[in-house]
Amino acid sequence: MSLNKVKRNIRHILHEVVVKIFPKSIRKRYFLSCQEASLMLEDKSRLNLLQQLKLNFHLFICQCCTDYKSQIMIITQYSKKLTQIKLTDKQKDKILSSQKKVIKKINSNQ
Amino acid sequence: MNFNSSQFIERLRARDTKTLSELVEKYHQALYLGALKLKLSDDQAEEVVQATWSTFIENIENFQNRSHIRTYLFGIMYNKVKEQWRSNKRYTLEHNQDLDFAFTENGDYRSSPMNPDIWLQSSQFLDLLEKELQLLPENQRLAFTLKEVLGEKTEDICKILDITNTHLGVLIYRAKNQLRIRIEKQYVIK
Repeated sequence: MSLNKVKRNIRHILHEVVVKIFPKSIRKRYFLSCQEASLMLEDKSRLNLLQQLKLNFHLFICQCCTDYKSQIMIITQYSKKLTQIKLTDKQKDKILSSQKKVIKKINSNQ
Repeated sequence: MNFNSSQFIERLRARDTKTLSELVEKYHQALYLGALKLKLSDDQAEEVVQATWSTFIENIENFQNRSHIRTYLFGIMYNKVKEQWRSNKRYTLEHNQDLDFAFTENGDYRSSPMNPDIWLQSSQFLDLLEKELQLLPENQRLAFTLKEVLGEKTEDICKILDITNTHLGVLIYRAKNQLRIRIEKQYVIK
């Protein structure tokens, strides 16, 4: 069994233990829900120490949020690759001629 | 030329042709590239950039020098792109899925997010991401593209879109969630 699978299984067990040990009212008050955790993951720099601790604990026991976090990381990383545009000679010519058009218009307005 | 100096701003307001031409030479290609990165065609990009310069020159008095001239010009351009998207039938709001459906009332996931390792095993992931990005509602799409694709600063994006930092955070959160849900669906279908 790979290390990843072991970690996943441990998280599932820990999650079950927390759900069984702590009643819903306690969990609601002291632990984060997945929805809250997903919101906090968006901007960790804004979190205070207590919120950071709660988030880290939630990620430690919640496989759903760990997968969610990985999904968002992948989307963010791959989005950077969408910027790569290599202009063709035709496009470069088009840009230049369109630039000349604008400058001509500016000059003709004077 | 220092595009932030008061001398430059004065010349701009006076509609000095040399100053305006220098500005066009400096930023025309960058604006064009920006429009292409937002997935406009060559013709649409040209149209948007021409319209950007026209609007800028017509309303030059409105430039208060509160933001860098580049931010100001890109702000006009992004608004023109939004108009272009609206007039383009391909970009409808059909996928404006409410994220509340992703969670139960207790805040748990309705269906567990899938292990994303499978995404990376597929060579088509980048194409899929690009395709799904085109289908996001326009505000989410623009906010996400500016922040995550083009790497603009948060402060500049807020000025460009005329929104608060919190609102930007919400738009990006929703965009990312829409993207992950839609990408997941594609992998489930496969």
